[in-house]
Amino acid sequence: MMSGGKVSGGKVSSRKAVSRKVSSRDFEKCLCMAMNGGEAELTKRPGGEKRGMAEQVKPFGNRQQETRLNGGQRQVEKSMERLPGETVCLRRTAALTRQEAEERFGRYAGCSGITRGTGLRSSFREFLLLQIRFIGLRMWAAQTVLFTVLGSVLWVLMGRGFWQEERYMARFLCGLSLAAAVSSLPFIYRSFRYRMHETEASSRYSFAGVLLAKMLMTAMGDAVLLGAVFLGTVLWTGLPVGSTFLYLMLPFLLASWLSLSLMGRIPAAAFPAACMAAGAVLLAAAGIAGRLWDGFYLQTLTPGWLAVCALITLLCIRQAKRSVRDAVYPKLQIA
Amino acid sequence: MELQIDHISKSYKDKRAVDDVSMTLTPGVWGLLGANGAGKTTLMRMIAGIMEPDAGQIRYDGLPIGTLKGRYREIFGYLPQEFGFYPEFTVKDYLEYAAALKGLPVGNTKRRIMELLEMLSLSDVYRKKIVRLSGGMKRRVGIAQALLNEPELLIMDEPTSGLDPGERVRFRNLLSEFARDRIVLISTHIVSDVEYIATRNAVMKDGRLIAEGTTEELVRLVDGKVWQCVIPAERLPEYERRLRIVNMRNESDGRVSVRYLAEGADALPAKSAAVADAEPAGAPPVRLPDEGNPLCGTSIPAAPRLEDLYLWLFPQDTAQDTAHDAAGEPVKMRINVYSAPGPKKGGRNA
Repeated sequence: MMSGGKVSGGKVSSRKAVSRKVSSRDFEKCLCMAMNGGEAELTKRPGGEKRGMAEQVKPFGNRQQETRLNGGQRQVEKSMERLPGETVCLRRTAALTRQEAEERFGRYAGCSGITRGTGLRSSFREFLLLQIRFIGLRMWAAQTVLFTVLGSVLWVLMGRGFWQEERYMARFLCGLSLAAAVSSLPFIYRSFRYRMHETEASSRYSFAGVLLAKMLMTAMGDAVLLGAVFLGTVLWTGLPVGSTFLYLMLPFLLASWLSLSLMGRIPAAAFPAACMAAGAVLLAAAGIAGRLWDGFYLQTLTPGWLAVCALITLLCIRQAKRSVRDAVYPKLQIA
Repeated sequence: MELQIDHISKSYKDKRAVDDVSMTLTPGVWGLLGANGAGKTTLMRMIAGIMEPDAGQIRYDGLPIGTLKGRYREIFGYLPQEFGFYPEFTVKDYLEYAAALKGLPVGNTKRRIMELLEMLSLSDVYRKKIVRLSGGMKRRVGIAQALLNEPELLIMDEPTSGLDPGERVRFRNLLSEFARDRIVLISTHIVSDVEYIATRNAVMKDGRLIAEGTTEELVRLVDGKVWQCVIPAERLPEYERRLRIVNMRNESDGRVSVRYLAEGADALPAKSAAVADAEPAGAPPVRLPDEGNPLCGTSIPAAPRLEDLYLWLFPQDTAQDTAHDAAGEPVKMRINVYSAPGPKKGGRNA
């Protein structure tokens, strides 16, 4: 960052006027460097007057965009006018500010005329809605079928009494939530399986955006399905509300966290199998715990369990953010 | 409008896929040539922004593409080497999905999709599942996807693989028209695809950029190295071992017309008696190449093509001995400012 000054949206704020002056000049110099590929000299008019940034910037096209750019330029020049005309060259500061200058420049380019074609772009929300149509519906339909089949089989095999027995219901919910988690995340892998990842990664939202959209869809679908199961369980079975919540949420969160942690750390081809394995391990662990500890399936939602759920939720969010931010999945797989 | 590739490098474990490549792409069609493993796809992925270089930077109009982020991808069209699609997708679904990925508003999308389908002769299969289409049609769907957002910068990795000759010609014409004020970079093994339409070509070998120039400039580099002659068919295997034959054609009189690559010699040695005896009566004299002079007796210089340069730079498994100079040393080519490794002595498939 600049010494004593902070550049923000074309305005320069600083505690010290001198620092501010230096920063703004260096900043503009860096803009020139970014423009000219390393040529740092500011262009001056014959009369010594500095040429404005917009005059140096060639690629910008339409009038409206130029106006917006000139707005940014005016802000920079306005801050310059308040300062005396002395020139101080601080190479170190310039180097430090160059990155920020480039980012600023990126923003100017963002409102510049480098984009042709329609010019109009849809928002991420619209993109997400379209993703529901293309991918979400299929995923949710598969999950609904899975849940219905599981419920029907148990209904036929175990009879009506099964649904009133707390222990059985807790086991059932445990298995169901694990199935929900491990059946949805592999949908993310479809990009790799069907070799769409390169096309998606080079799109406007990049692979991180697409991944985020898919994760959101997964979360939405799981929330709706688990919510429906929760309501059904509370209304038609003898399991208390707290227990229902706990046995639905805890295994689901654990499986999701494990799957998200695996993402990007193992080869893409192994991801679905690894998710399934993680689900199977958790299911086996729950089974063993039920045998070793009588009260394992008689728990209810206490503050302690709630804290555990909250902690795992935070871990899931952290892993999801890592996946999106670092785009770890495509980085490792495309090579 | 220009894309500056500034000293970029990329390594995979112990392999250097792209090694200090620098070039500046300006509007027009750019052909990127190179053998398998030359680093073309890695370079394209880095230009596409889906892979980060280990060193160097890529700038669009002076701005690093990492800084432009989504803005860069908006002006960008990319056709990957491996065309992927979800199996349930119809052509319509796929293009609408691609339009959503590119952030195009729904209203404009339909009109643009219809235009492209018309242009690429895909209107009839609009509602067909992609999985049921032929290879060429699938490729055309991929091309339509890349053109959807009317990109300023179009990168296509092997776009013509699977297209029949008619489709390739149409595609080339489409691309020429499209590239009038845009940057189009095509990587291909099919040299004729870029020979006619490329404004400039870049040749990669072992991760390095070894040559760059217009087709004419590059072709000039193999001036005097392309020859053709007619030989008896029965002696073809012998010639195949000695010459770097790039093309052969059976003639009606039972002989074979061959086109081959060799360092030109100013003077041909005298015909040996053994070779003269082997020639059919009345046929033009034919002589086997020897160590000092690789040319066969009746050879005449042929007009070089880009394909000849490609085959010169990337020798195929056609000749036992590759080109040598008069002293028997392997030939080194010097192209523009780059140092291009020539065929290696005794190397069958360099």
